[in-house]
Amino acid sequence: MSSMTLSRRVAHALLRCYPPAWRRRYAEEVRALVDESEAGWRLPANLGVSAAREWLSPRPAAWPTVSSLTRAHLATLFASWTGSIALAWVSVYLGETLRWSLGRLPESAGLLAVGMWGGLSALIFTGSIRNAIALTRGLPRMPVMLGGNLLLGLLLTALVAGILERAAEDAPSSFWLMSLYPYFRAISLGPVAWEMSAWMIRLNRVERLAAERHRRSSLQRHVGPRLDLGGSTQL
Amino acid sequence: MAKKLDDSLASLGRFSEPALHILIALAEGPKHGYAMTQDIEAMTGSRPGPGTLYGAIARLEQRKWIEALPAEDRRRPYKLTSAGGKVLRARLDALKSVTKIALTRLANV
Repeated sequence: MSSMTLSRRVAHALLRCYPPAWRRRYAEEVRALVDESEAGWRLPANLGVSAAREWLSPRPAAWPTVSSLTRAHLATLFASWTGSIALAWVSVYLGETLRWSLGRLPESAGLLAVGMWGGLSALIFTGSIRNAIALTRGLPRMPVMLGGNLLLGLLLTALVAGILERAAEDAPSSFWLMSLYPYFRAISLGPVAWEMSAWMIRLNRVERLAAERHRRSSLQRHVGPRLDLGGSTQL
Repeated sequence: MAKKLDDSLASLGRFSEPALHILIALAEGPKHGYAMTQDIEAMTGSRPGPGTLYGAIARLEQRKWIEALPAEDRRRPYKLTSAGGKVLRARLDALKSVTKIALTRLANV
């Protein structure tokens, strides 16, 4: 492999380092320009520095602005915290009620709850890692891990696990902080599960809408003028 | 509320110079990226890197000073808009007056 080919390959690889929205809009054109330009190490150096600049000061044009994405992100984060804390409270309340009415559940119920929490945690963190990979590689390439019915199933499982755990545990700890454990867990696990999936779904929708809007406006702008270009376009 | 964009080339910061070159290149007619780099190299003696070029193109397109035409294969030509033409004219007028002052001062050196 010659160094010329290598520098061009590195330049192509560096295009993956740009923000996903930028890549979808310009990567193909830049790739074509790289292929046509004289190869050399100036190409990847320029693309590397420019990619960092685009991340530091993104100026999206035909795609959602950073502020709108941030708002969507914060809204889903807040909703997920509220929802997961409410879910934790309900599971603690129902677990306590069950224990007072039926007595403490056998130890096997507690073990089952531990197993359910373990499974849920593994699923949630696998999903969040996959979503994080999707974010860096370009949306919406990878499937949403926790969407629709799967998310509902996960919430129900968390509710049942929380009830079983509370109903099977020993007398509540005298240390007050321990009684808050389900809420700390809800604060940490809930947003990871919900926010990541909701954000992905939201992003997919926003970006699809933006792409469609851009396509329509391009068609409206250029269907007429294109006929007038004649030979003036330099190719 | 969307942030109002400054209507001068200086608002593009480090991209103002490549943006000026792009506007001058497009004043001749629609061009795609490679044609722009060739034209800019012929004008200035140095060829802008692809990252610099498309960084400036993205910002010019955002301000609607240039407009993307339908893609042809992997290339997409751009054309100067009337707003872009006004910005270019204003910038060139400013440069002209600076050049005039500078040349007058140099004559006295």
